[in-house]
Amino acid sequence: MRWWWAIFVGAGLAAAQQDSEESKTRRPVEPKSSDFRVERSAVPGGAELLTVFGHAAGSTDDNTEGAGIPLVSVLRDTLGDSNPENDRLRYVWVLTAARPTWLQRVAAATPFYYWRASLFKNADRVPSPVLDLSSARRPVWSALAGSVTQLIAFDPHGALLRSSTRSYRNNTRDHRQLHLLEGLAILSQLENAPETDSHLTQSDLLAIQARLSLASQTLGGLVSESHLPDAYMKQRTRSMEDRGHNWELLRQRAEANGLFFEPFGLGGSPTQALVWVAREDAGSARNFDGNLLSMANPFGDSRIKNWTGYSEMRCLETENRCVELIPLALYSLDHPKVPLLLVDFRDTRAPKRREMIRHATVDVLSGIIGYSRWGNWPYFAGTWTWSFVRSRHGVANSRAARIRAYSQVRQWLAFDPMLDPELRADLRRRLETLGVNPLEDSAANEARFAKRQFAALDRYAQDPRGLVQRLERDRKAEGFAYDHGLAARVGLNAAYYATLGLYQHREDNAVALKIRIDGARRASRSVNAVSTDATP
Amino acid sequence: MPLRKTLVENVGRWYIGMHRGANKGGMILVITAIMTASVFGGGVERVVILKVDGLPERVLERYTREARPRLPNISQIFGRDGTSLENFYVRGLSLSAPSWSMLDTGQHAEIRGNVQYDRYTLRAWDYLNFFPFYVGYAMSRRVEMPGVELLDQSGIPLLIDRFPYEQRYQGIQLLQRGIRWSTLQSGLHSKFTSRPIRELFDEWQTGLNMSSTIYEAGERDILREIQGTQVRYLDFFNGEYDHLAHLTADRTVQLHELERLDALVGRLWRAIAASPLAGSTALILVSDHGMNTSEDTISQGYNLVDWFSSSVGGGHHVLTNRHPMTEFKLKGLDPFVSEVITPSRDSAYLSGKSAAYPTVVMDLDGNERASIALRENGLNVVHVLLEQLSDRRTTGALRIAVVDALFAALDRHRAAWSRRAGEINANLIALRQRMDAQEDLVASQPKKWTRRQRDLGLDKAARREIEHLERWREDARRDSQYASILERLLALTPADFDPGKFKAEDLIPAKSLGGVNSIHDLQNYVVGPALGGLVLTADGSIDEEKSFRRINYFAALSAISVRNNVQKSVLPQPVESIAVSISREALIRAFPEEGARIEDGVWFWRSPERQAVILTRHNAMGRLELRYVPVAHLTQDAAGDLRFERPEWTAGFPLEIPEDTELNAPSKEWLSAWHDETAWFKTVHRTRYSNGLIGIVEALLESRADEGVFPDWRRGRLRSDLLVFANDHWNFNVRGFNPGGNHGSFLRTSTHSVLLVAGGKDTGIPKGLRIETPYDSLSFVPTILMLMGKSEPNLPGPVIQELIGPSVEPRPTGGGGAR
Repeated sequence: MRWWWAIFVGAGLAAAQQDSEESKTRRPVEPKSSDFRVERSAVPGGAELLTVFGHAAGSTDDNTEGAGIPLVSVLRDTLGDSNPENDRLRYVWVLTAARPTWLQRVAAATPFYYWRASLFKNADRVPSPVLDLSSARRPVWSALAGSVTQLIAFDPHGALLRSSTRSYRNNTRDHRQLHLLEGLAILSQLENAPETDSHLTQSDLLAIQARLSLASQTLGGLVSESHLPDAYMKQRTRSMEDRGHNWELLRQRAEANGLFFEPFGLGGSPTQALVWVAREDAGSARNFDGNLLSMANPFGDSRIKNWTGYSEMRCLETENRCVELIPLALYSLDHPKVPLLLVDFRDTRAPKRREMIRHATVDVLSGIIGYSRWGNWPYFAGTWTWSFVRSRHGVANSRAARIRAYSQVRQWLAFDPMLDPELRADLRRRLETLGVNPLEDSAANEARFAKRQFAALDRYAQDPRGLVQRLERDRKAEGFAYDHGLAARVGLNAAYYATLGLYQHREDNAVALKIRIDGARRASRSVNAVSTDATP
Repeated sequence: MPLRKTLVENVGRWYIGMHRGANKGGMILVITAIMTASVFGGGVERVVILKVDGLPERVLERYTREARPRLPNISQIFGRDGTSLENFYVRGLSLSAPSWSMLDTGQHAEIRGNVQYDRYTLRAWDYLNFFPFYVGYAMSRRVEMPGVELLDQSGIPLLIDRFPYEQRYQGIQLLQRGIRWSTLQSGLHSKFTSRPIRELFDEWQTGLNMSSTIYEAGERDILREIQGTQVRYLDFFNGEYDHLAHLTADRTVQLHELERLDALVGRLWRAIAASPLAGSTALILVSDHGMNTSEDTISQGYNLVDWFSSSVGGGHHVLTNRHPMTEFKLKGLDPFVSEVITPSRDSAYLSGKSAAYPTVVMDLDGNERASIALRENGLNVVHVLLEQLSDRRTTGALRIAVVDALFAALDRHRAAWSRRAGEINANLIALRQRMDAQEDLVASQPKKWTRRQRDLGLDKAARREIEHLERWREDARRDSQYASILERLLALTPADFDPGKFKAEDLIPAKSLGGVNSIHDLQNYVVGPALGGLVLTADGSIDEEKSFRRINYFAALSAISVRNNVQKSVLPQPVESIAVSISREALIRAFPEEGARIEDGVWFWRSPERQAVILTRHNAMGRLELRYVPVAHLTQDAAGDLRFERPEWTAGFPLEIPEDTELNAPSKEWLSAWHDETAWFKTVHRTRYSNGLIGIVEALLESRADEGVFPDWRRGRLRSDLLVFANDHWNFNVRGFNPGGNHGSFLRTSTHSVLLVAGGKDTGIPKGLRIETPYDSLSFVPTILMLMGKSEPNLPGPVIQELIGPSVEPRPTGGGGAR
C-alpha cells in the first residue's frame, strides 16, 4: 500500500509547484478588448485547419505577439476544392489542455484522490482531438464497451480494482466533458462575431456546437445529423432560460437579504454573478435567509468584520451613500434551476469540500460497496428520490452541469476584459482550489499550453505522415461506409482480422475515391436539409 | 342561402328591437350591418382561426417586412395574399384570460384577471388552471374551463356557440368547452408508438417535449377536419411563443419559435387550399396581447407577496392562486392548487391565524400588473377591537372604551352591512328557486346517451346543467354561512363581551374580504393596533387616530425601491402607477360642473403630484365618452368627499399623453374635453401607453349599460381594490421568474397584438391590404360574423369595415358601442 502514499505525495508536490508557478505569473495588466477570431491554414491533402484565437484579458502571455491565444482548432476536409457543398467537418481540438501525463493517470485511478496532479507536462505532444464530428458515435460505443468491461471484468474482483477503475473512468469522463464544454463555450462566442462567417458558416458553427453539447451526454453521439439544428436550439433555449432564471433568482435573493448583486459575462450575456455585502451593513444584525444562496450569514460574521481581502468602493445613487463592498460569493448562472456557488470568499475551500463529499459518496457507494444504479433497483429508486427532493429544494445535483459551469467560469476569467485585474487574480487563485480531477490542468497554464499545443498540432498538420495520412485514412473509411452496408463492412473487417491482415479490402484510387465521396456528401447534405424542414 | 337567412334574422331583430324601445343609434347600426352584410358579407362559409398567445405585432413585423422575410408563409399568405391590421390592440388589460374572453365573445370584459376571487367567500375562479378541468371532465363532473363557466353564468355566448355542435372544432385553450380525448390519445400514440424509434431516440437525447406532442396531435386533427365539409368553425391555440418569451428574450430562440409558427401557417394554408371548401374558407391569425420583451434587458421581478406580508406592507397574510417559488417546493407539484396562503411573521393582530384570515388577495399572473384586493377596512377595525376584548388583560376603563369603540365602528357600517346581508339572503331565496328548477331539469335528463346524441353534444349540455347546479349549491352554502356570521356580528350587544364568552372567529367571517374599500380606506388602511397599543383620549374613549397603525397604500407602494438595479434602462422603482375606481356619488360632488351625467370614474395615481381622474358618461347616441382630468394630491375623507388640486397638464401624468410625440391630437385643449372613445382611440393609440385610457375603464368599471342583459348580481363581488402597474421591464410574478418578458400593462408593446386574415377566392377578403385604422378586441367577433353572414348588431364592437368591403358608413372603432 505504500505506493498509494507515494502518489499522494508526488501529486501534492505537483499541486504545490503549480501554485507557486501560478503566483509568479500573476501580474495585473490593463484590460484589453476581448475578441475572438478565426484563422484558416491549409493542410496538405485538401483540408484546412480553422483555429479560434482569443485575447486573454489580464495576462501578459499572449499579447506580446498580438496574435492572441489559439483556443480551438477544427479540421475541415474540403476535398481540395472550393465548393462548400462537399466539405466535411472532422476533428475538434481544444488546445488549452494537453494529454494527461502518466502521473496524472495514476492519480486519476487512485480512489479518493481529489486534487490536481500535473507534475510533468505533455504540452508539446500532438493533442488528441476531443471529438471527431464525422464519427460522433464512436465515443458512445467506446464508453458503453468500457461500462460493460467494468461490470463484467473489474467489478467482481474486489473493492480495490473496482474503485480504482471506476475512479479512473469517472475522472476521464469528467476531463473529456470539461474540454468539450470549454470548446463549446469558446465557439459560442463566435456567434457574436459576424466576420467569422467567411470561415465558418452559421450552420457549421451550429453543427459543431450541437455535437460538442451532445458529446457530453452518454448517448448523445448517436443523435442523427438531421436533428442537430433541433438539438442546438433546445440546448440554447435551456441555457438562455437558465441564465435569465438564475440572474433573477440571485438578484431577488440578494435584494431580500440586503446584499448586492452584480452579473458578468462575455458578449453581454451574463453567465456569472458576484454577490457582495457592504462592510457597514455586515456589522449589523439582521434576518438572513441563505436558502438558495448556499452561504453562511454574513451579518455579524467576524470574517467580514476583519476582512482584508479584495473590496471595492461603490456609490449607491438610490441610497445616497458610498459603501465599501466585500465579495461574498461567485455563482455560475448557467446551471439548471439554481445558481451554482463556485467561490465562497469567506471559505474558499467550501465548494471544493462539497464537491469532494459528492465524489466520495459516489466512490464509496459504487466503488467500495459496489452498488450500481442499474443493478440494484432499491438503490436506484432511493437515489432518484433523494436527488428529486434535493433538487426541489434547490440543491445542485448534476455533475455534468457543475462541470459545464466550471468550464465557463474559466473562460470568463480568461477573456472578460471588463473585470478588475485584482479581482480576476483573486478569483483565479480561489478557483484553482476547486479542481478535483487529477487529469485537469491549472487554468493559469492554459495560455502557455495552448500555444505549445497549437504549435504541435501545426507540425502534425504539415507532416505528410501525420494529419495528412490520417485524413487519407478517414476518407477511405468514409468511402468504404458509403459503398458497403453494415453487414458487408462487418464481414470485410472480420476477414481482415481472421486472416491476420493477409486479406485487405482494396478500394479505388484516390481520385475515384474523391469523386465518390464528393457525390455522397452532396447527396447526404440534401437529405439532411430536407429532413430538417420536414413537417411534424 | 345563408345571406338571405341572415338578412331575415337581422330584420327580425331590428323590428323586435324597435318595439322594445332600442335606441336610434342601435337601429342605424342594425340597418348598416344588414346592408353591408347583404352586399359584401357572407362569402366566408368556413373559418379557421389560429390563436397565438402573446404574439406581439412588433416582433412579427420585424421578420415579415425584411427583403427576404424570415417568416415566408406569414409574409405571403397574409401580407401579399391577405389583409393585415397594423393597429390591432387588446382592450383592457393585456392578459390572456380577459383578452381571450373579449376576443372569443365580442363583449365587454366580464373576466378581469387570470384569477378572480369572490370577495365574500374567497371562492376562486382560476381561469388558467387546466388540471382541475381535465380531471373533473374525466370524472364527468365538469364540462368546461372556469372562464367559460363564468361567461355561461353571465349569459355571454362564445363565438363557437354560434355554430351547431357538429360544425365546430375547438382546440385546447383557455376558454374551452369539453375535451377531445382523442387528440391527447393520438398525441401520445404518435409520440411513442407510430414514429420510427430512431426519431424517438433523437428526441429523447435532445430533450422530450410533451407540449409539442399535444400541439402536433391537435394539428393533425385540425388538418384532417379541414379536409371535410361539415365543420365550419375550427380553431387552434398555440401558447408556445408566450411561454418562451416569458422565459428568455434571446432573439435566436424567439425567432426559431416564430419560424415554427410560420411553418404551421404554411401547413394550414396548404391544407385549406387542398380542401373542398378552399374558395370559401378564411384563415385568421390572432393574438391576445403583445409582449414586453427586449433582447438587451432582463425583466426584473418584485415580490409583492413578501412586501405585503412584511411589516412595511402591513403584515398581511396573503392569498394567491399559486405557490410563490413553485419550483422549489414539493407542494408546488400540486397541479390542482388555486389557493395558497403565505403567512406573515409580522402580522400585528392575526398572528397564527393565516389559514382563516388572509387579508390580502392577489392576482399576479400576467405580471406587469397586480390586481390586489384588501379586506374591508371596517372589518379590520372591528377585528382589532374584538381581539383586544378577547384578551383578559383588557379590563376596566380600557375595556369599556374598547367596547364603545367597537359599537361605534359597527354603527358606522351597520347600514351597509345590514343591506349586504339582506341582499345576500334575498339572492339566496332566488338562487334556491333556481336550484329547485335546476334539480327538476337535471332529474329529467336521460342517464344514458346514444352515439348520435353524443355527436350532437347533448350529453355535454346535460352535464353542464349538473355542473351549474353543483356550483350554485356550493355558492348557496358559502353565502349562507357568510351572511349568518355577518348578521351575528350586527346583532351583538355589550352584554356579549364578558371575557371568555366569545371568540372573534364566530363574529368575523373567515376567508372573506367583505366589501370593496374606498379611496379613503386605502389611504388610511388599518393593519393593526398602534405599536404602543390602544390609546385613550382625555374623556376615556379610544383615540382612533393614535390607536391604530394605518398605511396609505398609494404612497407606500410607490415608495418601493430596490438597491439591486443593475440595468441602466430599468428604474429602481418597480411600481409605476396605481388605479382604483371612484364611486359615482363622490364624482358628482367633486365635479359639480359635469352634473349627474357622470357615470363612473377612475383615479390613476403616479405620484402625489401626478395623478388623473378619468370620467365616463354616455352620449345621446349611447356611446361611451371619456374625459381625462389631471389632478394632484387627491384625498377622500371619511364621508366620501374628494379633495384635489387641478394642476396644468404637463409631462409625467399617468399614461404620458400630451408629451408623446406619437399623439395625434388637434390641440392641447382637445385633450381636456369630453370625447367618445373612438376619438380617443384614434388620437392616442400610437403613444407609449396606446389605448390605456380606454383600457383602464374597461378593466375597472362595470358595464353599466349591460345591467339587466346579464343579470348576475355576483359580478361586483369579484372586484379588486387596487390595480398596480409595473414600471417598464418590471414584473410582479412570484410563482417563478419571467426574465424574458411580460405583459399585462397598457404599454403599447404589451397591448399591440396581431390580426391577420386571408381567404379563398370566394371570401372577398382583400389581398395585400394593410389596414391602418385602429381596432381592438371587440371588433374580432362581429367582423367574423359579418364575413360569414351571421352578423349580430347588438355586439358592442365595430366591424372592421375595410375587411368587409368598400366603406359604406365607417362605424365607430375601438369598441364604440354602448357599454
